[in-house]
Amino acid sequence: MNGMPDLSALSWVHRAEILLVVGALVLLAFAPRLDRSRLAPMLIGLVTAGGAIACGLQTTGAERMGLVVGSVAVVFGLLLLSSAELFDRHQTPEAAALLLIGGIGGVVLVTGQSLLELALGTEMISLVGAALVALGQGQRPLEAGFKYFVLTAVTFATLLFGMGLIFVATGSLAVPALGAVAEGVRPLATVGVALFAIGLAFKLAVFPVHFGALDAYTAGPSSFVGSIMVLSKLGAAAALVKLASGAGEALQFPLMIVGLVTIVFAVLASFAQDDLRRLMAYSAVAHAGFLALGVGSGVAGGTAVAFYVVGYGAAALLAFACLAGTGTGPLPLSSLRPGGSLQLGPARAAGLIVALLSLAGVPPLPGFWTKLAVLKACFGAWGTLATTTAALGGVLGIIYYLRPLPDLLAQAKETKGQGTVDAVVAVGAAVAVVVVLSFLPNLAWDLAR
Amino acid sequence: MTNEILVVVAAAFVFACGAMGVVYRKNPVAVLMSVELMINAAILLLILGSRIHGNAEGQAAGLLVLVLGAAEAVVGLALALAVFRSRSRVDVDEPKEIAG
Amino acid sequence: MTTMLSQVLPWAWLFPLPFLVLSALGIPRKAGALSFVGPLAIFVAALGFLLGDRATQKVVFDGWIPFLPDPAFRLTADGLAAVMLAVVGGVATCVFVYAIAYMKDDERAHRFFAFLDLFVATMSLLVVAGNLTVLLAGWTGVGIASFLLISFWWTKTLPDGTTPLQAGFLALGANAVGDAALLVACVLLPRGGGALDTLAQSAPRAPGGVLTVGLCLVIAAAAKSAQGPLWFWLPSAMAGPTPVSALIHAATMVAAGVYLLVRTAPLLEASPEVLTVITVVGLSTALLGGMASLWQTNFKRGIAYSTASQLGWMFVAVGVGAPFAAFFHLVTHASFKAMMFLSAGTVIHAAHHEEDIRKVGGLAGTLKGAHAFFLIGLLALIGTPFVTSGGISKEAILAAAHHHTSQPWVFWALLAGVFVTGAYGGRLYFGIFHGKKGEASAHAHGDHLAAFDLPLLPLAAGALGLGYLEGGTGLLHGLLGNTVKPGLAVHVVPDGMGWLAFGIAVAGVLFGRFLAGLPQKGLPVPGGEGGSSVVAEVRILPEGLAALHGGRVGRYLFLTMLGAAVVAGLSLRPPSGELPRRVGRAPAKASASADKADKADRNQRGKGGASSGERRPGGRPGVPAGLQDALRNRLRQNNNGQPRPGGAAPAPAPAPPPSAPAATP
Repeated sequence: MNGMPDLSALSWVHRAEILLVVGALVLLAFAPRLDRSRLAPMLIGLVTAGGAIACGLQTTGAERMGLVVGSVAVVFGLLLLSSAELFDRHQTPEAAALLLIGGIGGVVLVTGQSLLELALGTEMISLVGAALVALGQGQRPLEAGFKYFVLTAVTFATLLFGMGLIFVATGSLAVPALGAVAEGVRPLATVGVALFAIGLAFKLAVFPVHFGALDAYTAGPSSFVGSIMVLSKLGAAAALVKLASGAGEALQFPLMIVGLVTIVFAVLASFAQDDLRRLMAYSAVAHAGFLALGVGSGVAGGTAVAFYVVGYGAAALLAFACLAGTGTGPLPLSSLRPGGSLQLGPARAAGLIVALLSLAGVPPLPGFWTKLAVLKACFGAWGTLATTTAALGGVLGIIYYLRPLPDLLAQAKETKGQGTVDAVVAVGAAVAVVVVLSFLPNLAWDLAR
Repeated sequence: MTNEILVVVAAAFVFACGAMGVVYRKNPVAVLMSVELMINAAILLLILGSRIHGNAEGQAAGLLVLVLGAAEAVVGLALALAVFRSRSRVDVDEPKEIAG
Repeated sequence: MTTMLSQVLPWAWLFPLPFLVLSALGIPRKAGALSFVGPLAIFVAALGFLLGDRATQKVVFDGWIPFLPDPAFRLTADGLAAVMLAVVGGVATCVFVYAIAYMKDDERAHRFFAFLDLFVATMSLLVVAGNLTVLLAGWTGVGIASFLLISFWWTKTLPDGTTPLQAGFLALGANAVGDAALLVACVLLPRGGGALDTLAQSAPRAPGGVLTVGLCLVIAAAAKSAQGPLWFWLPSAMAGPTPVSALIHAATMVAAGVYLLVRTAPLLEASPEVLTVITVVGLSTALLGGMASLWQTNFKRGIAYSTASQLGWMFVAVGVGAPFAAFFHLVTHASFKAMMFLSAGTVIHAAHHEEDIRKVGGLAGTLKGAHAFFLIGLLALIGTPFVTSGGISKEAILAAAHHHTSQPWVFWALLAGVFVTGAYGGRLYFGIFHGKKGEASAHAHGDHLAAFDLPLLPLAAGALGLGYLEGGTGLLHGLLGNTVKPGLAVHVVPDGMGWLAFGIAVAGVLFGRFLAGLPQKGLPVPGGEGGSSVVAEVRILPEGLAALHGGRVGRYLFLTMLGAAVVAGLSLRPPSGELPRRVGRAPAKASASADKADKADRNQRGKGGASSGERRPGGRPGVPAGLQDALRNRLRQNNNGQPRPGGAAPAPAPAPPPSAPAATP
């Protein structure tokens, strides 16, 4: 009986997870003392997330990618903490703790090997997402958080049911290899895998399980939405890649179809939007379609998906960092609806333009390289028709990404509440990441492999 | 195997009932209860699997899932309370400010 | 000196960037006025290259994008690129200088110049691109710059009730189709393909071969050049300021499609089908575009249709195997069409932003300069021999079509096109500058005309003299070197066919004069007077989809469960052999072994004397159904990349150990 656990036997992933849990617990335990301070919750969170990044750099492969990208997403949320539109200003420690827990969820989804771990990670991100969205100011975030919660609960139950079916068929909670499952119970396992994938697809926000995420990203506080979005997509994509590599075509085919439908749907539906926040939410759905398409494209798709998450994550974090502090109400574009109220100031408007162009896939921004990678993988797996559909859908999306441009270019020089120092750091860092990845996409590709 | 198939069918039935409840009930608490029903169907399957394959993994997983469901219910009830505190009608379809 | 200029030519696209930054920041306020230095530098560098030894300059950074067929960043400056850059730089310089006067009163002028700088930079990148990836960067970039400039006055409402923003979206959408085609071309090329100079070698190895790659390129080119079914955005793009119309939507960007076809002509010529597609698309646009121009009441749109029609001529030239003639006409057309647009801009400016042909007229006396320039442009457009460049280059296309005996109808259709060209040209000219003064031109002011007229002088010189770049001298052949397949010798003195064409054109002009005298009604053409109203029409579908999100969570839940059921159903569908290819790497191996098994099976059957010639629909040819299933199973198992338990025998079912269930009390 050794009293002290042997720390050296722990993997770096586990150390990072423990670190994040401890950070979250400290924040929650001392919340009543920390809530007057503007900096303390953020700093505690940053130290913890920084530690997690450091742990991540010790690892390799998917673990490295998951830890680094997940922790970076948490860091951005923390940096924007002070400009978040909270229902109660004193809830920053709780929000910081939730972000850290969300980070654990993402990491668990990326590194987890058994279905139970994946379920746990999904649930962590779901609850954190719903709570963070609902922490926002006013009725809209509450409504969005509630809807997100109800829908996530249902898809999570579906996921659990799928897990149960798989367990009945295989007798193990490991990610099933459908080919090795006996003929008689294979349909059971196949349906199980599909239902499990539905739960993960909700995190990815693909059609038709995008409703919750769409509303959450529309009405949640922008400071957190970027982080939640990136963590969800990172975790869900990684988990789906694992699931699909075991399930083969039985899952890859539906994912390809769902991905294409999502891309086309999101592009078309977003043409009718005149609210910038809603546009960004639809953009998240469209990109989920590309991720699903990548997951559905076999082995080559796996790397492409990881690459896509990095490139997309950078641009999405930048976009929401620029929107942080603009309230939780709609942001109608005056070029489309008279009386629009977009007030960002030129600096943040410029940052948002860079983010939008990257999301639109304009070369040489990272969004372009990642889209190419997924299309390449899709072409290798599914041929010309699927690739052409995806390419057309993806490229037509440029129309709605450029819709806010006239408004953004018309931003007046001086606006009040330009944002705090931390928010400026967040925007600057995100711009730097996007620009570096534009010209050296190799860096992201190496991280993704 | 017939007994096992029956249990699977029963679990599917419970799950379907939960799904129907989720779709057709308008009271948030009823919706949450329906979700619990769906989760219970999953637990049923886990226990069944444990029985078929003779390992305890499924039972452990079932317990964990039970806890997850409880945690979810806590968050859900808190959210429902916050949303419907200021509304006269308690109907999940009622808040529809975010649309389009 | 010239060697230095040649060495910087691949980087010429960087020249406008400093001015882009200055103009964007608006420091100093009038920074935009300096912007012409960027294109001027490009022009000088291109001239330096052309006057030097014209050795191809290549820039290659390898290993840039590891996963693409061509992972490198490639720039190539050769004779073709240099001539194109000279055209871009030259026309852009004139337009920039013109715009200083044209945009004098606009308080967002500095931003206008920033967008123009962005355009010139991306256009130059497009021209010097050495592979598809870089080409795509420039290709998308010019599309965005075009969008920004079309919708520059986004707060105003056009006479037909649409807005410049809608016109911009329309252009963006049409261009996006072309971008998608290039994206597909990018991913479907085999490993090592993608460099533009070796495209003809790599494309045949792509799935679908030359035909697929060629069609991708043709779609991209048609989108950029407003050809065939993708013509609709160009007329509504006239919502932008007139210098934009002259530079982007007449001289350079819309010519990028033709440039791409000329650049990839060796590949396109490997597929007669692709060439026929190009010819048909170009010919239909040349004729229909010209006829549509006859009905335009907005004279800018009239010129826009003329541009589409002229680009159609260039497409036809590529289609009949004469890319050289196409490029020659591109060069001359850039000068005279930009000049026509700019002189139309002078009219618009003088007539207080009136663009309706019914409200202007009789301006020949007031705007002497604009009148002269427009007349030169008209003469070049209809192909006046000896004195105008258009006459010589158009004759080169006609000669090529005449020479192309396998499709004689092309030549006769082009002759009809000559008549149409004359008619719309004459109608515009007589409508604007002669006849009775309209309500708007009655008060036309003729001040500051020098600032408007001076920048047009170089263009006029080009419109008159550029024909001798090739005609009689063969200079252009020399400049292009071996980058473009040499065409027929171009004559200055027209032969009988040339005189016939010119006679037809003059008849057309007279007919146009007759048309200009008629009351102008304006006929609804597809897309409407404001083609941008299409945008409003296509909103129905998006709004329907958005209506799905009514806010009621019950419906969301229903759709979610429905989706779950559908996905579960999709996952259960039997894996089919009809899919184009198997997923992942392991399956590739699997299908290889499957093919082997297939072959072995066929051999066996062959020995057995059974004929397996007929193909059964949906299945592998000549494989019995039982074996097909066996193959499928093997594929599915290999899909997981895991060894099959128990070799060929089916996996042992995880049947309950006999004791386990019973033992539990």
